[in-house]
Amino acid sequence: MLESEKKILRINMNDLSVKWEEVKDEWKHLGGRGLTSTIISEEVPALCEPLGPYNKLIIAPGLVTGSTAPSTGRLSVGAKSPLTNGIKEANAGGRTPQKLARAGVKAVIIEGHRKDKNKWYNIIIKKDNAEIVEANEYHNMGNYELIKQLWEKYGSKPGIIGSGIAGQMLLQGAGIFGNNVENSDPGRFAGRGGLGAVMGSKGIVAIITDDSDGGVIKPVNEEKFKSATAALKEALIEHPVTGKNGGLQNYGTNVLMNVLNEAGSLPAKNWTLGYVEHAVKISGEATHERIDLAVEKFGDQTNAQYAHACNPGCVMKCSMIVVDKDSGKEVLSPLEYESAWSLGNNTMIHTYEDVVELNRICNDIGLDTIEAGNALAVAMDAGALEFGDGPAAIKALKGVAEDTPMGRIIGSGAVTTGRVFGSNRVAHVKGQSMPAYDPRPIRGIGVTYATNPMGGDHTAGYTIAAEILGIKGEVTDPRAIDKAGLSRAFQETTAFLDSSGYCLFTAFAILDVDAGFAGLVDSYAAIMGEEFTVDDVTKFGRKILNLERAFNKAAGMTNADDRLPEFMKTEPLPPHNVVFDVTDEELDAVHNSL
Amino acid sequence: MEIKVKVFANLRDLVPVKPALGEAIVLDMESNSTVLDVMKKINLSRNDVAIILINGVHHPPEHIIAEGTSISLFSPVGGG
Ligand code: SF4
Repeated sequence: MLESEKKILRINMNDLSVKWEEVKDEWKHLGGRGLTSTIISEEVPALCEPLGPYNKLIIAPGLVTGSTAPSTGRLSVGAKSPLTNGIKEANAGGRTPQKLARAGVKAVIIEGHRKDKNKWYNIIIKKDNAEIVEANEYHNMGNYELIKQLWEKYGSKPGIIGSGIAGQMLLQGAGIFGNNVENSDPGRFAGRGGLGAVMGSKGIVAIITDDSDGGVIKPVNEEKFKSATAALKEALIEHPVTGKNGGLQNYGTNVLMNVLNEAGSLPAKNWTLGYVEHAVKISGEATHERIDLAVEKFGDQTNAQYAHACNPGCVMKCSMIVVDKDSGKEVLSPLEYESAWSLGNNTMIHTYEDVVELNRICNDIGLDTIEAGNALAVAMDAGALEFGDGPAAIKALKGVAEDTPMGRIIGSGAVTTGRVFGSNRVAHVKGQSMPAYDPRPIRGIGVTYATNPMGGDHTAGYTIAAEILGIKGEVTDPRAIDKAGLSRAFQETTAFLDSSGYCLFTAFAILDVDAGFAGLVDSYAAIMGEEFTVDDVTKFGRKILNLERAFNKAAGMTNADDRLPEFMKTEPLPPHNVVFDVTDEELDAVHNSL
Repeated sequence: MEIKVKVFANLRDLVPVKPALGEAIVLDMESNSTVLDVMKKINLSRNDVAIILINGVHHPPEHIIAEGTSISLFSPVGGG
């Protein structure tokens, strides 16, 4: 199947109808985030209530997703966010992205509200065929059990994404979960911005995608595609970060825990410390060691594994399977850096098993781990829980599914938790809490947090690659870098990557290896059979960012929303003892075209 | 002079004796030694090491270290 043969699947919950539409000319060259943000800009009233009938949930695989190109199994989910009240794109891997593309779906648009709030639905998607089916028996079911049951019921090894209990409760910390390749864990999350609640508000428990009648996405220009993907693959495999036995394969994203800690930039104790000795206990190296031990002890009786792919066809494989150390049985896949940081280091819970349990609860009930960990840390900071008390945090988080007041508060995110407990020490931008990099010592990422359209988000412009990790040249003094220019360049490139369906982590290799970058861009052009060069990347990204910022403006945001919280400008972070000192003028200069 | 060095990620498997997680290797170095001298002493080449942090600040391999310095070394890493 060619990319251009895919269709738009429009699902209307008002009358429970489904419609396949031809793709409009203006949408033809778009995929992933480029498409979700364009559709939202065109079809969602900026001032609408995010959990009301006029908001729409858009789900789009990347443009290259579903082809044979490496590491392209990514999905964008977009809507107006109940957390930020602005535009949102959240990105995930898992089984669904490629299946959706191969079932011929360019994007799913879910609109309207069901009439009967007591009714819950699943959506079944196959090639040229979609159905809305009643699903009350799955409402309020934990995600581990849910994916198990749906996997058995629909024999095709489907992709499954869904709202989770938290999303069905319309909590703002709810993410959209996705099953992993083996269907053993619902841990592939389009986590941020409360999109699980948008799906829940539409009355949808799960979307089940079966591509058996579909086919691989073929490029228009096969020759070009072949050589381009070969060049890219070589760059990914040869690069010491993304390649075989590299940092990502051996330790996962959580290899960053020790780097950020040793750099004095790892937020701890609700953003009051930049270094804590015990962080190492929940680092990627700790996971690696535990996996080695389990394999040694249980041999082929355990599926403990690193260098695990979150979707078929990824060559970088940053995922892993974490097992119980006494039984060798799988307990979590994956344990990501941001999750281990938020649920562990930021709460001062450095007991590995407790962090894994907290993450598993988030996966089971459908909570964004970053938001949940920040909310717990804010509650601890305010005295409602004790820092470092793993069992108490586990109880609080379990309270979400049990509908306890504490559960509802934590599930509603860090800002709400701060309001309830009377704390204004909440690390957030636009209502979305910040991830695992303190912007006081690392100012470029602070510029990204402040100015990207999504709120406190690191992926939107990952300046850490240059500021800390030395990708694209040597790091000397990160404080000397032109932060605004750096963040702008990263934000533009990212908006393109998120639209292509390529995993963001390709950036580690392609920013270092020019032939890899050219290969990635050429493969994108070859899929469409049209001209698109490296020079077009930032222009494309800029266009998407402008659309997103225009939506936010129409939704009521101003430059005042592109700011970090006050305490980051007044409370120095040890050990460097610095505050965030990028001026408002510098922040406003990032997107001065709009 | 005595200095301390912590190694992370793939470097733990390259040094002569694998240290416990987070444990520093204590070394006796000549005064005026560089980070590169320290790396050589524990079997690490310039290419093995991508990130050198001293007191949380990046430094080049040629940096001359003082008595009591604590160095953290990393192989190439990425994530997010
Ligand atoms: S690098 Fe990691 S997150 Fe990216 S596609 Fe591969 S396994 Fe998934």
